[in-house]
Amino acid sequence: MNFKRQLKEGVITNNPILVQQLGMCATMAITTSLFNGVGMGLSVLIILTCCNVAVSAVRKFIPDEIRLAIFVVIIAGFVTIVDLLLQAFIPALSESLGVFIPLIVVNCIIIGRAEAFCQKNPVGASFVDGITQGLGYTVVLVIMCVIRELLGSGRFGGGLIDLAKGITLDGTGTGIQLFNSDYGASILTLPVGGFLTLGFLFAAMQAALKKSAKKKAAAAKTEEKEDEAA
Amino acid sequence: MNKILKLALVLFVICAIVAGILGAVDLITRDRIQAYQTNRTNRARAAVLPVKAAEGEEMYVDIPLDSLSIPATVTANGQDVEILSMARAADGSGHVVEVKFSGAQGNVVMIVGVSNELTCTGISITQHSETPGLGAVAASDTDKGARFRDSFIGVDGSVQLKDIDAMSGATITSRGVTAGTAAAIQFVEAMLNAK
Amino acid sequence: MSVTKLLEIAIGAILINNFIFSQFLGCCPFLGCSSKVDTATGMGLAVVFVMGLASAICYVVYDFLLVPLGLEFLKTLAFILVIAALVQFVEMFLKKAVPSLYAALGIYLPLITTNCAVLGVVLLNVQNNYNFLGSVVYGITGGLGFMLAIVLFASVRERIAYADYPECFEGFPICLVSAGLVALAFMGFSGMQIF
Repeated sequence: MNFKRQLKEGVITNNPILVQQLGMCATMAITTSLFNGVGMGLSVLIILTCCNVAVSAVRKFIPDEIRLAIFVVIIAGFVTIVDLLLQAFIPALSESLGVFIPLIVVNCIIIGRAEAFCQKNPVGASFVDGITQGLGYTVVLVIMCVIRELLGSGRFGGGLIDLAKGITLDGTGTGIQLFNSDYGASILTLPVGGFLTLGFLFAAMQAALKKSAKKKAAAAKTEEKEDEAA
Repeated sequence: MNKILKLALVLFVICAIVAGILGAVDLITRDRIQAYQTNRTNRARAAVLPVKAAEGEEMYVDIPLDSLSIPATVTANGQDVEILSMARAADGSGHVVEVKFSGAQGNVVMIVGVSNELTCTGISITQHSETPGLGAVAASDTDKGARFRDSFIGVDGSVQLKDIDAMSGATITSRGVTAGTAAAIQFVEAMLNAK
Repeated sequence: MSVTKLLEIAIGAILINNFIFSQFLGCCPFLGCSSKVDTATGMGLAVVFVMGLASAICYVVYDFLLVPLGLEFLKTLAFILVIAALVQFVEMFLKKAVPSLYAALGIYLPLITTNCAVLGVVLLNVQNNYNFLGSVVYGITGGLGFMLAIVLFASVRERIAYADYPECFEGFPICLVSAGLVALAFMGFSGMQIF
């Protein structure tokens, strides 16, 4: 029950990118292919979950004055571990994400969750929080990748999916070419496209949230009227 | 004062623990990363200047740039090109030069094969951030890209933009690759002359 | 490093590969802090100062501490600690020396620690293998590029208040779309050759 609520929060109502408006640098920079998007999303999910668990586990022992410094040290530790493992085992991902893997250290989502959630909640809840927020982050990254790649070059699943080899974990998949890349709006694959796509996604999210808030207010009002009439 | 010391000590201990864990992970991954880097360079070099060597034997012998008396930057076709590394083919068929020049959107790193007759045997772009669909075609596996790269085979150190099959809409990248190739050949010539 | 190379780094960092519009480093404060031109200018100056000083200190830490001991894998941890300490000192200094600026920047000053541009520039210095002067120049001019972007955008944002856009675009979305259009304008600098 709790997990379902946290999942809904993480992916929709408290989405780290679209609602909390954190961690946007990487979102716009690396979403040029599905391989990057899924790779980055999963990396952040793993780092976020590990950091959440670590911070929650030591929350009673760390002095309050230096807690932010300790959070940063723990996060830097996990980021370096993931960075080294990616360089060794999935070097193609490490190369295409470049400097944005070490930059996960300053990704506001991780510090934000540590500060807002993990230092007051037990390890189990923090673990679930890490997974759900990470999932929300990955979902937004995947949506952005799909839009930018599909409309920008007519391709789906670049680097990850290959018609001949299935799912390629080494970045060599050529993706499914849905229409000739000459007809794509290649501006979407440029930095401009990153800004525009994220802007439109934000707008869509805000419109959806406002609509559901209006619905809830209208439903509450009709309930009030019925209560008064009764 | 005591409190600050205690806080600093706690922070230091946590840093030390984290650093220790990182050291352990580094020990596990260091060799793998190193092997991948050498493999990648050798594969790019083999693409431009294939070398017949026995299994496990060194294919390319690195020549350290600071052991040479000539500067590691060449100005070719009006553009500054930096020489990153140089190696001699183990079977004596030529040299492979790694060059860096500025393209349309940042630096481009390229490996050029130079034969003993000071002509280009092939080029391979290893690092770039050029515009996808335009400059990036030079490095891609498409027909256009292959045609572009093949047009450099056989050119000498005086190659100009008009001598090769440039990419339309990607003049800056084409110009850069031309300058890089010319610079690589000129550098090998200068090195052989300096001996 | 020659003056031309330094100038190339400088103009590259400010115009061609602008930290925000081309490399996406530093977007969070860019979107959060740019509502008024004077706050934006103050933030920009603080970031220039921190980036330049961080580049210098991190270069020294990397080249004289981490590399000789073979501890390159600790660079992320070391750099972020240096940056956090530096921002703390800058905060203390500003509080005593220029309290008005300190009050104006408010919460955004400690947030420079989590600014992707600061950690990004020190990591890029290592990746691009710049020497001390190159690192400091890249740090300062990267900060200047950030400041240019944030001040330009603040002036754009002051006008957005009078624009007529759909209701769902209120707040962040319209800023992102406008930033995208400014990024499009900056694309005009790509491929610029200095001399």
